[in-house]
Amino acid sequence: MSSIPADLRYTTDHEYIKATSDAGVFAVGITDYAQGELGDIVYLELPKKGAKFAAHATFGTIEAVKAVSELFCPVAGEVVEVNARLDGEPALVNTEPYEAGWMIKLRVTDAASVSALLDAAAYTKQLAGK
Amino acid sequence: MRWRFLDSGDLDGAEQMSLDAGLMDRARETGEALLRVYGWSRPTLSFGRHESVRGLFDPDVLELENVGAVRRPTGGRVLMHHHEVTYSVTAPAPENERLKESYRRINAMLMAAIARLGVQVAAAPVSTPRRPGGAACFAEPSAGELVVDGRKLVGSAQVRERGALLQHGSILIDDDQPRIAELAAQPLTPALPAATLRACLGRSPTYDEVRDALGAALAEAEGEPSGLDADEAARFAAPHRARFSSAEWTWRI
Repeated sequence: MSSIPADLRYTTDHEYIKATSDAGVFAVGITDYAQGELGDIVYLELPKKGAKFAAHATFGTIEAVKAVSELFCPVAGEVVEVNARLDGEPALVNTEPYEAGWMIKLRVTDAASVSALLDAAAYTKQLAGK
Repeated sequence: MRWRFLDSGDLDGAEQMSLDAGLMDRARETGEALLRVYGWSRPTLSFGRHESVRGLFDPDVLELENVGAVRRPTGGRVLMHHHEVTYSVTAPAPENERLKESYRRINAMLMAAIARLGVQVAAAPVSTPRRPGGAACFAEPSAGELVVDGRKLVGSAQVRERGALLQHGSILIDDDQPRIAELAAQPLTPALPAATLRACLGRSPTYDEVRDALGAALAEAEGEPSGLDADEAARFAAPHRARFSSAEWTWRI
């Protein structure tokens, strides 16, 4: 069973968004379910600090042992930090998707867009439908 | 899902990658899947999308040796394409379809095709993670890939973008992979020799034989496919040519 922390918000594309100590800034990554589906992650191509994305825009690509997939920005915002550790340790996305495996920190354009995403119960229901 | 089948024959690396990328657009537009079979107009190295090759291969040396170079839209590691039949599947990728499931279905079709040629292949068990750039593609099989006695016969890679998937790979007739180390400027991890159809069968099957086995396996799995006009495929490839023929893309990292 995949881990789905109660305090995060989720997208149907299996990204999560998590509040940080800086109000208005959220960490973005992929869910435990998504990392399990992809398998061993070997490389991430992430944007630079300052990059701006619309909701659902592709913010990077992720390469698992045998497949490359796109990463989608859950909500509109500006990248304020990129997780540099993933450059050398991409497997953190597999082992700690919600902690050390976060990908970018995003200053969101509209706080209301975060609460409009799936909550843990709704995301759990989506996975159960598979 | 309606399937089509196309034999593109030998073309250069940039054209083949443009077709693979363009046919993803076609899958998105039409909702149809396609199995394409192709070859290479000269020996060609293909690099994985995120693979670091600058400094490892010298474009001038490759040109002197009459070896092409192209960077794939898919992941994985460097491959030498020469005595092989290359396949690609482009298809709509519904959000609810699991990645492993599409990989398994395509591999099952490949296994049936290779069995038709008289070779029994197995799917490789789960292996350990590696980074792109670690070694050559055929050096080590990863989970689900087609192996004979633990050695890789078909190396495949997949990409999913905007609701479409591409999986392509090489079915080796002969083992040209040792050339990768010969062309590299730095020593590479020694590769386990790849399995080849020639070694398995004691003779080299022709391109046409392998193509026909793939076509028959597709017909058996999904029903008789329609053909696809090569001009239509080329139209979908056209918007992608600039990228795949550019040094900026091929030698970007």
